[in-house]
Amino acid sequence: MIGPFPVPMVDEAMAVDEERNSESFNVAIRHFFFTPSSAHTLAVIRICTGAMIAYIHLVWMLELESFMGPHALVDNASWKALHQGAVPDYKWTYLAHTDSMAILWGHELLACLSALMLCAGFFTRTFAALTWLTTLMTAHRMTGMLFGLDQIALMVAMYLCLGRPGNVWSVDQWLLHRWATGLLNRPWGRVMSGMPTLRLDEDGCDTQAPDCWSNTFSTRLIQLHLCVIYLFGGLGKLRGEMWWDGSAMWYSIASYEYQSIDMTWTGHFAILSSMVTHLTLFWEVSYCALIWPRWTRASTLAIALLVHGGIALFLGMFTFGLMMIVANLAFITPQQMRTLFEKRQYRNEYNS
Amino acid sequence: MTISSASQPNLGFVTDYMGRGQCCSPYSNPHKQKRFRLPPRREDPMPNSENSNTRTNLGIRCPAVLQNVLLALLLLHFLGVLSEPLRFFSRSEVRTGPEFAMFSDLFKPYSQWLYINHGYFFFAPNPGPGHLIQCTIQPQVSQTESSQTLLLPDRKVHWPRLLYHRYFMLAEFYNSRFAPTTIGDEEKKDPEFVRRWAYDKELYDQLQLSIVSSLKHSQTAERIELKRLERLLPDSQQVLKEGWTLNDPRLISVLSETMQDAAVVPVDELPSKTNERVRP
Repeated sequence: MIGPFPVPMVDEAMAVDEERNSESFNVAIRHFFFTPSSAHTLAVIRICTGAMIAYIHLVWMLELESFMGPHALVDNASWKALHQGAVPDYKWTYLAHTDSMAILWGHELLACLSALMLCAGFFTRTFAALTWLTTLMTAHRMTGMLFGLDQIALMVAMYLCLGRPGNVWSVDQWLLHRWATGLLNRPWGRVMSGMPTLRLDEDGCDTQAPDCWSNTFSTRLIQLHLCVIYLFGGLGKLRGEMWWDGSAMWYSIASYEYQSIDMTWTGHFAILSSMVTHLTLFWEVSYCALIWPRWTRASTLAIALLVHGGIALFLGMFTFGLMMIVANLAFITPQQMRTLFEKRQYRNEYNS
Repeated sequence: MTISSASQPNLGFVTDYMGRGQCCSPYSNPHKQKRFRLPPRREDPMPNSENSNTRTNLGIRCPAVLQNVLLALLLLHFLGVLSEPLRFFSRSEVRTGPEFAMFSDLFKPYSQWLYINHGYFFFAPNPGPGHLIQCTIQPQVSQTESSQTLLLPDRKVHWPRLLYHRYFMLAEFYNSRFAPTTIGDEEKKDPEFVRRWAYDKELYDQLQLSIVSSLKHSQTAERIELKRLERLLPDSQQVLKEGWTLNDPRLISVLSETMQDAAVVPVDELPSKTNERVRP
């Protein structure tokens, strides 16, 4: 006999399922953001980002008088008209309120020095924050002269402040191991450097810095932000017919302002050029989905390397291409990064 | 399929750093789970477990309360990150999507100050023409040199490449802020259009004055005149069959300061190699 469908039982079962699903989602989210991890990936990103930001400030300093101060190309009056005029915005920097070249030079030198300290991993937490803040102040002041490089460098620097990128491959780590009772083992030293208190193992030796949740959190923020960037970058391209008819690659390399190496010979291979255009388009749109599964991650990162390497070499934006590659390193696990750079040490440990 | 209550405490969740673990669905094939599950290298670091706020052998873990706070802040932060691209993408010639405009306005103080308010339109929607600033420099009366022409940017002058790119961005910015010197009679009838034009014009004039003043100082010049140039992108036929170079003078045009169309510059008026001598 076919009776009435047992609705209450289905409802109950569904409620149980929903509860379990929400619980598993909650656990998954927490695992995703807060599982402790080592700092090896962040350390590589820290070194590259610190060096890049130092270079950015060095280039500003090459013609500082043209970029800031009383004789700047965009002077303080223009800056105020642009940002604090009839349509004010929320950009603020103390650099737009001074004409003193001494202050401006001091700021740029401090920013450059901070970035170098970040690169070296000396009092990493303090100098990461200082690098981000000084670079942010400079970026707000340099209206009209910024591009993707500044966006990515500042984004990565901001998220580095949240992790402990100085826990490995840094001066901080070296100092902590050399002088275990030194300043880095004092409370204020630990706060400023972001270094943990080292423990002694059974043999009385210092242990490695422990894994920390903030490393995962920081890396996840870089990864997610990168996904947003690629998604909207790809969606923007979807609106252009040149990205669909396959001519965008030609017109990108045919721009004299961007060109660094003549690649116009690719015009002889129209199909190849079109395929590269479409590959770039589809890769960029699908990056945010394909970067997560293990079996597509390697190929997605490989294409990222090719695309940004191409931009760096052929489109005259070496710094931008390099910075995008550095940001993509966030998808390499700390274990992989450690294996890559500490192969010998691993081998020695294994042999002993 | 029945669900084993013994599997509930950790829901079969095994993860490594990259989140590669699988949150095993109660309906998934248990044999498949066994095949693909990673061996647990450490005891399950459940964030909500006791002592989760202390340093353990598993590493330094985040207290559960802080996790909740951080997740809430994270959500707000990424709303801020998304606010500008959504507003940017919902723009048309007629209007901006009202909900995205409102959303963007709400997060503007946060996203603007943190410098995360970008549309991420890299080479989109299409690669476009490049813009340059041509500066005609009239030296001071005491100097014997004739007038010179400086191009912003100029790859022969501006080195390293990042410095060149800064000048390139300035030229693009200057072009993007352009407002015509006058507007037509038809436009004058629209008070809103006139108000916006007056505002844009004031900003453009201010920017022009600033660039001129800066160049006067660096070039010790008496008078400086700026022109906006546009370099069109050649198609492959022009380059490969007709032999045009990417910096062919025929690709450059001077953009008008009024609302008329750009006029093509005669070749002999183009900035030539003379600008190699000039350094801003």
